[in-house]
Amino acid sequence: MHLPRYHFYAGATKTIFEFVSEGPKGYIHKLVEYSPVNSNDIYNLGFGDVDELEEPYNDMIVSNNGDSAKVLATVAATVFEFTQKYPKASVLATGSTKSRTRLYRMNVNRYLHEIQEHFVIFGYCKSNSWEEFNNKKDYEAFLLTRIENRNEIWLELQTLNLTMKTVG
Amino acid sequence: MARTANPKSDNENGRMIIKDMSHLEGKVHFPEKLEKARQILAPLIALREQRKTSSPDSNS
Repeated sequence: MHLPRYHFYAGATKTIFEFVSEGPKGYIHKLVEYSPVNSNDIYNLGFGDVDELEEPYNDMIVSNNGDSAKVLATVAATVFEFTQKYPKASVLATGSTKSRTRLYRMNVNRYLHEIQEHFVIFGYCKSNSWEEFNNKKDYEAFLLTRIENRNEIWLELQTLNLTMKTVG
Repeated sequence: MARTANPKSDNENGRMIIKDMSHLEGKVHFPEKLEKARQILAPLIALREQRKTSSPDSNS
């Protein structure tokens, strides 16, 4: 994918990335982090504005810096770098609000073809079930992994769906 | 919202630069998001744990 995006800085472990958004509101520091979620191969994608004076950082801020496509393309580039270093990783992404999750979905839709060359995306439905990403549906969250892991993780998610049906 | 006084640079072509970010690594900067992820992923984590403990290697 060769979309316009910002330079970004990576830590040695490639679990943390930084970049600067430039726009009418000025220069805004952004941080992307990949945190393990209780298991070695499952990570959460955290993303938001850096505020040295206030930790934890705020992912609810709407920067309105007029560059959301470029910002998301930069975040996508970090996903690529992260999963090159951790090829078995699955990454969960959720928006901090419903509208932001919808914005993620719209961007996934826009570049779905390019994304699917390297990754598979699963959507987490309101019904607590998982399915392969469908560009016509809204999701609560997205789980992304490199295409080589598709069968393995899809088998797991189908098992969970079956359990949900049985319990429900 | 942090607005920095970075000079306008060639911040445009998406190059990745490795730098020392050890002061940020290993910390959780967006804990609410991580908590939400834990809730959503709890069944998947439980499934993996279950498989790990029931695999033959786990007895060694």
